[in-house]
Amino acid sequence: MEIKFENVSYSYLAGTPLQVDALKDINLTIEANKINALVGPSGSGKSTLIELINGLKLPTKGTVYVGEHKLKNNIRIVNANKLRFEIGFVFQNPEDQFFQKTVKKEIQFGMKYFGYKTDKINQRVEDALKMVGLDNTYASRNPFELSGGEKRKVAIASVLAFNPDVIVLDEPTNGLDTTSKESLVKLIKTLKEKYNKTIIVVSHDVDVIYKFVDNVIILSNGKVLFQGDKYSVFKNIDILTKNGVKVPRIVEFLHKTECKTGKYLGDIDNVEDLTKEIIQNV
Amino acid sequence: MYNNVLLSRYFPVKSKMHDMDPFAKMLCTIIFILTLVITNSFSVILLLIIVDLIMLLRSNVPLRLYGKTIKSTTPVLLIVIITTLLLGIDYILILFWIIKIILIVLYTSILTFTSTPTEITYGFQKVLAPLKLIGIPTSRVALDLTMTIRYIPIMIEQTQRIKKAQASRGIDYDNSGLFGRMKAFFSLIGPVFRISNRRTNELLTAMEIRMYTVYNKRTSYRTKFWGFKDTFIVFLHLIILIMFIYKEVMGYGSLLDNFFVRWIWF
Repeated sequence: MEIKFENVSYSYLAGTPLQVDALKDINLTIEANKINALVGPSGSGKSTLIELINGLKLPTKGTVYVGEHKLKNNIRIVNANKLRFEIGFVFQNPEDQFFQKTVKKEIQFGMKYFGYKTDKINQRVEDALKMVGLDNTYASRNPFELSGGEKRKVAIASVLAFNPDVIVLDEPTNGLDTTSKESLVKLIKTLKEKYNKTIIVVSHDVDVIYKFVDNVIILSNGKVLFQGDKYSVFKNIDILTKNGVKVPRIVEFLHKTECKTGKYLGDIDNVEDLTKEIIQNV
Repeated sequence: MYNNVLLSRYFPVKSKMHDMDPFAKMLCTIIFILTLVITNSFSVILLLIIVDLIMLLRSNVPLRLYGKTIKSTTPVLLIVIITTLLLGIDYILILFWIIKIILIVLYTSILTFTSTPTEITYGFQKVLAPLKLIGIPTSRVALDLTMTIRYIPIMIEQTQRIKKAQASRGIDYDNSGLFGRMKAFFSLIGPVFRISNRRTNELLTAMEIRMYTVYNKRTSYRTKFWGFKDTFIVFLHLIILIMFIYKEVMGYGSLLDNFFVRWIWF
């Protein structure tokens, strides 16, 4: 599902002395069936932008097109339930997303609310847990008492249960150890390749996300600085550093090598491939 | 829908009202409400309206916010109107009551818009101070009050958080009609209390770690001091109260009221 922003602005406390302009005249397209990363320093408007996608916030100015839905200021969202079922939103802090006593209740909440049949719900819960790599024993556990990585997985499962087209992950790697990060990366890749989901990842952890994203959007001070293919965006090292955006170390290396040797190395996105390339050339 | 909560809505701007001593504001509020509740004299109410308006304009808080506050009292006003009409009470009295309710709501919102919860508690503690003489631990009462007031934003925050989590899983709070909203509301209540309870325990631990317990003596950190304007405004309120007592209790008030009722209203 393609998502399009047309001249979108968003202000908090609009019309008061405390007004903060979080997004200023944003124009961008988020491509379908790809992993899109949203990168920018704190306060650049990333979280606001993703909340505009599922209609948790409505733009102060401009229009957001999400598939067939059109989100505009002061206009009632037609079929808001459908829109939110199509956009799975995983919060920055998984605990923010939990409010039920057990993992099972957490995952089935939306479907139960809308009166799905019990068999179907149970099937979906089982499938969702399987998709994120958790077994059925987790179903009866309290989501607040799981480990960080497990919490994140349950949060993703509770979103996957209603089979969304788009999955938005807000800082998914926050507070996870290396192993959990790796299994999360694997999960995100599977979701894209096997289940054809459009994925939007908001993250500061550029070194981790560089391994699996396709496109990158850089936000700075509420404006889009760059958007496009990950290597072509990140190789603007000077401008990005000036705007407080960290550049993946692998890109720094590749870009320097490219400048010196003139050979295009943009297809490499992980250390393993890089090592192979070096060994071949040495 | 859940934003219309009166307490803890401090609006951080600079104004004469923000600069006032919270104790003075508290005293004024008490005198104002007292006068308003016991009076039925049109001239006194008119004076109180003027005082209220002046303070409201001096507070530098957007009038829109006061408008919202009044709007949120509509159900109460409707209940008052319906019951009084059913009881067959004189319509001028009904009008008086409505004006009184609106004035009280406006006045208390001036207090809450211009003072932080800590300031309000400080003022409250001062107001309660005489009770110390008869052995009531006023600072403890004030601490309990602080805790209660401080807890309201936490409850609101938890509600907003769960509302957001539920909204992102398909529940449409804003556009789903009366029954849809009721259903959504009931799905919200349980989790709010359960999760607020969790949060309370965390807060308790955090407070205990910092030695913040009931039996410790504590000092108060004040940034505002009683000044001339505080004395002036408290006196202004007192004068209105005294004027009322003079008029009503001594029986000198009917002339002015008759003038208002006869010539201005009809």
